[in-house]
Amino acid sequence: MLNFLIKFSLTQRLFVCIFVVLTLFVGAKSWLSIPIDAFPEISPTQVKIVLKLPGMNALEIESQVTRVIETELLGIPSQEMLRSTTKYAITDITIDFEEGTDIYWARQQVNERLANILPSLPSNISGGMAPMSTPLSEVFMFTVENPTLSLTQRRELLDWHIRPLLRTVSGVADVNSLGGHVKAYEITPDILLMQQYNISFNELETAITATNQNGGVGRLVKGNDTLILRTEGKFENIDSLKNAVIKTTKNKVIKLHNIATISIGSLTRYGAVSKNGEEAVQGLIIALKNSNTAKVVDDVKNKLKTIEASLPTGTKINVFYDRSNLINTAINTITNALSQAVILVIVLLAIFLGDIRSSLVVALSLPMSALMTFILMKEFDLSANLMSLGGLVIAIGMLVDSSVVIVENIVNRLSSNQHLPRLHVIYRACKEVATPVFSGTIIIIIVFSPLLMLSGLEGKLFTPVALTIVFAMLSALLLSLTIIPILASLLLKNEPVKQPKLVTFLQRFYSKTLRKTINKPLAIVVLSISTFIVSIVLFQGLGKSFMPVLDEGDIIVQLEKSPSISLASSVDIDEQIEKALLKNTPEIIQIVARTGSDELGLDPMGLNETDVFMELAPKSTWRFDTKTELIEDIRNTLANYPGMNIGFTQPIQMRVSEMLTGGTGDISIKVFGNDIATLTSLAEEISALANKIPGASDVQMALIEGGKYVNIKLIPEVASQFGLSTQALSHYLKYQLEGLQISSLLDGNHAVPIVFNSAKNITSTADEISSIHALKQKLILMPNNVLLPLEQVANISMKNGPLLIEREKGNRFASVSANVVNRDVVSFVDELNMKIKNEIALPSGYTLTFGGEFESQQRATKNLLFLIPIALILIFIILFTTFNSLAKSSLIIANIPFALMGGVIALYVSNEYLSVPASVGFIALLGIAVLNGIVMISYFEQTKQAAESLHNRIIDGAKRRLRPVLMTATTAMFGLLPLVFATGPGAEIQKPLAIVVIGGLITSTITTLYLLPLFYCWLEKRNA
Amino acid sequence: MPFLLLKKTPNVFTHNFVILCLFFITLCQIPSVFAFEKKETIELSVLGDFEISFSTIEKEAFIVGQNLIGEVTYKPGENYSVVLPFDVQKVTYHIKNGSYVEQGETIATVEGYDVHHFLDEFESAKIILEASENHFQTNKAYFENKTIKSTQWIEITKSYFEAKLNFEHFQHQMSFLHIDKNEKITLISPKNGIVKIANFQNIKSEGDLAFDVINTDSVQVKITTPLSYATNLSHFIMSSSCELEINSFESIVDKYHQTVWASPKSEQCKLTLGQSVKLTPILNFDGYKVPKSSIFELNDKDYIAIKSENTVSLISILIVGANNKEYYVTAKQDISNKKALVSSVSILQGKLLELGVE
Repeated sequence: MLNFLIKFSLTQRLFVCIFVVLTLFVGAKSWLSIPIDAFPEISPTQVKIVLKLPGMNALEIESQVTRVIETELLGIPSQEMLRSTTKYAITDITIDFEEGTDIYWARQQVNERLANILPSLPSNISGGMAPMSTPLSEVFMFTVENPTLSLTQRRELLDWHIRPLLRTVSGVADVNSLGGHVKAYEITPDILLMQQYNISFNELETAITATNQNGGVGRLVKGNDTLILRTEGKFENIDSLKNAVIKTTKNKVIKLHNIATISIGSLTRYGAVSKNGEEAVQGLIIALKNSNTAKVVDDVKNKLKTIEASLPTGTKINVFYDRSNLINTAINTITNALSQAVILVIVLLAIFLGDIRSSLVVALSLPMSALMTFILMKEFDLSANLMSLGGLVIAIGMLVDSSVVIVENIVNRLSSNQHLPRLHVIYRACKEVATPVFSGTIIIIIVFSPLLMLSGLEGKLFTPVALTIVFAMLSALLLSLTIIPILASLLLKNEPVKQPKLVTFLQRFYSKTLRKTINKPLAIVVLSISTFIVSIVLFQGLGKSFMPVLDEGDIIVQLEKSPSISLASSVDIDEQIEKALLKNTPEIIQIVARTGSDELGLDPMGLNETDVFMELAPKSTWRFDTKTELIEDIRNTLANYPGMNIGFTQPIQMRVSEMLTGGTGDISIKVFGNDIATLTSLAEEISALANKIPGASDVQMALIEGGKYVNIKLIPEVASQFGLSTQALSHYLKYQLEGLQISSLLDGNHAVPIVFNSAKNITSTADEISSIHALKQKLILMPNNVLLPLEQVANISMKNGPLLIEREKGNRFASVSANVVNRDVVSFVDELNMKIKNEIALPSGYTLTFGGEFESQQRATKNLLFLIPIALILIFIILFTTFNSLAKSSLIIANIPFALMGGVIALYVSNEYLSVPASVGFIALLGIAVLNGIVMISYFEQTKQAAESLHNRIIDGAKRRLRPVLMTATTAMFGLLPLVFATGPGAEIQKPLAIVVIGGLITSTITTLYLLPLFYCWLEKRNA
Repeated sequence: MPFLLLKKTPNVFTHNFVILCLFFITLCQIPSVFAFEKKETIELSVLGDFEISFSTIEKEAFIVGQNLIGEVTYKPGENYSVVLPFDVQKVTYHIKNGSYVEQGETIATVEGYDVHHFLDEFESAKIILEASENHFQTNKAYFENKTIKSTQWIEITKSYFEAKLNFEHFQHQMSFLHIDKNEKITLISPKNGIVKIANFQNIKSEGDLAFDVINTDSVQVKITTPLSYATNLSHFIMSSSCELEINSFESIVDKYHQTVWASPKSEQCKLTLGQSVKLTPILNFDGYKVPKSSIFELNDKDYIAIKSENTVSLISILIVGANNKEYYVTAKQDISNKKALVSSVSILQGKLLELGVE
């Protein structure tokens, strides 16, 4: 098969060339059309339900809505996780489906079940399935600026002008509106007048809703024609609303304005946004799942330019978060590393091959492999991101290996067989090495195959890495057997190529030192074993973490204030903090803080929770060298603003953490149980313990308790005298406090809600319910038209209750989250776990789990420890089939630990943690070490029949194999070197990998060059 | 006695043990009690760089209650009613309902078949009375002479007084009436006051109420107020220029309401009989007025933080009312003219909840 391929390529050169050129063209086109993002799609197939229930507390929502829906949804097949968060007036239910589940199928399943259950839920429920987005879909954020417009006008502009236009952009799932005031027509009925006219609330509500309708009637046949009939009643403006007839008595027509005040106001706010110390209006673009983020952002920006021209004079769109910045920076970092790696590899090829023509032939395989990889990436729906392109960088050093072997053999054969037909010599040269080249590539693919088996977040992150490597290696293999022989036939000369002086020098030095080593092996053996032991010791001391933190370029400070804080006070605190940060930290360009819930309810924070988003100036203008120092500076400023919990995160990091655990932080400790008080107490104890452990930072316990409810319980004996029911009272009080949307009025192109709202439009200050006393004294218009203070018909008491109820798979839990600084997560968790076991006695029925980054790290370790041995067995089988010798196969495998020790030492010296990328580095190392071992041992085996002494044969063979071994090692090392020194966002993830490979290749190359020949020699002697 | 001793010994032990336990429990409580006391005074520095501002607390004597509806009316029995003396076909009122009239002023003209009969009846009553009186006077002498029997005399007397009563009744009705030479009858006001016409439609029959005349002093505002208001009511405000003073409380309570009678303090109120007026009750109050932003809740109680040099002390208060920006509160101690923390109060609350403590 391989021979046929080579033969076909060499005989059909023009056809193959045209085919390759076309392929390269398609590759270039693929590169230009591949979706570009910072990260691969890491979220599972996820469907989110957001339901709003104004006025209802967490406990009520949990019992009446969350539980009911969860029970219904639990029956959906292929689900992995069912998680819910219930807070005041809102519940978010998230269902994660198994990997590979079709999102549309999943949404349909959820929708069907939701439709079944909705009729049995409380009537005031609104919302449903959230847009088809992922937690990382918040790709673009802006504020609408115009000092001459009020917050209501700006919000109106966003909701009814900007939002509809942005929603037409392909890939935009929705545009979330935050902050400002939503315009509404407020009706404040005067209950005294209503009593005088004997009009009940039901009558009033019915009269308005029944009037505000246009209806279709049908057709009227008039002779040969038909006329379409309709009824018209919709309010056209506020005046027609004011003049709506509510009731007609014998001699009086009572219109709405006779019994109520009608004004332009706003809906009750559940959140607010402030920018640089002043309230603002924010728009947030949510990208559709699986969309091309970079393109979506570009299209949104272009659309905004068009929209901006049509906005009122002086209106500006102020962008404060643009995911494309991160994408561009990260992709630039990785493409810079890629181009630097290509240059370094080409230079190395030139140095080692000593011939510009052969170097060129090999070097050409790099861009061609890359372009072919892009075709495969596009076909397999892989986006160009930090991970997939990182995979390409990792593969760069290995991509040239097959071409190097082919070209080197062609060069050798051409120089020694000048009399034979050129194409025939090239064919024979290729044929000779085709099988080892193929096996080498297969070994590399097998080595990286465990990454394809990883699950969870690590699987989603590293599958693109492995796939890209596999694609690149297969492309390189195909090219080395097709176009490379053709290029060699066209570019290489028949003349013998002079070996470079450097290689000659190295060979001389190597053979000398190898001879000494074989003759006196003790020193190298002792040195190797002691280094190996040292590396084992160092390995124990290595910190372990899941993933290095990607510097996204922005900072989010999360504030958690007193649980009962009002929105106004919360915003006031935010504004003070924003001003202080802007004053003290010039690195911050602007600050946008979001308090409370967003319009869509995708992130239902409480009024006491704020995400302070900071846009930073270019790093070159900073007073600090690192972001850590900048964060420390911000932390110092915030230290002067006490009385609230503070946490640091980044936009993507925050959402990834929330996606993984439902909360933020490196670690999330969850206590499962039923009783809220017990859960709170346990979470408090765990939080206190976590705070005492060195390295703990931003330890936060989700405030579960702290909710204060004013409980109004009707006195049935009294209430029945007036015909008052609990439902009627709830309805009545809701309008007094929360406001009650009853209809809407079309104002131009948009519908303005019509609400009953007395809270903001009261006729007397004493009517305002702003204390329990006022609530007790509140006059209630009874159904039988009697006015009575609430306390006469109901008992009013204060009750404590949960602010938040979180559930997983139907079980309540309380969580404590923490970040870990200056130490590794795993040791932190071990220590915390130990302390919890010793100091906290979990009551019966209560369980505890560790989640977050730790969970992912543990899962990744478990998976890798299971999969890598399988890969090693596969490699061993290949080695055994190659050498037909258990001992020799074992010899090559035995080289692996010596390769790994370099990686361990490099990690330790560079102060990096053993993370998933570092583990991937070890995997890559394993492959290269095995490959080098094969190169060396196979040649020894080839020259077995030579009439030479064993020592000479081994030394000569090793000397001959020095160049390919060094080339393989150095191209891999230098290919990764740019990643070690890369500083931009995105480099953090690949850096540990590069360090491990480079460190490992140093020891691996030394052991391959010295220990392997030595051990082979001992083996041969023993066999002899 | 030995038996008692034997029995007492374990009891003494138990008793002592319980006392010892209680002592230790009390001892254990002391730090927490102190901790709470300690919490009540907080250094201002704990607020860090957050804005700190104070507002002076004012003493307040009144608070505003929720609006009520009052009805301009008169107390039962204070109306002077005029009824129709006979069936009529038409009543033409010459004044507007609710107008002020002088005594003798024409109110309405009545027309009908029975006018003539009424006049005849009046004339015949007059004649009958004259005849009865003559008869009575004549027979009086006979009775004194015992010429006639006492039974006959009783009949004559009875007849006379009936005729007199009948005539006086007509005379009384005629005092509301003015009859001209053409026998046109007009109803006139018997008093000075406000005329209240009962019902235009149904005034037809003899005895129907034609109108009431109400003395202006009797016109008051009747307010039905919830019982909880009644005890603290000071006065009512109708508008910026009209206040009502409370005249009386009805002693009978209608389940959850009490009726209050009030009258205008000044003539600017311009109340019209039958009018419904929206009134703001002003309640007596002995407390303070504090900015809304100064109040926070802790452990189910409301507090304000009172400045004392570089510290603030927590004072428990009770909210009893509010206006746009302020709460009316009561406190166990005098806090008038003290300075209450009005900014960053939630931060103080957060500190007391130990937020931000690592």
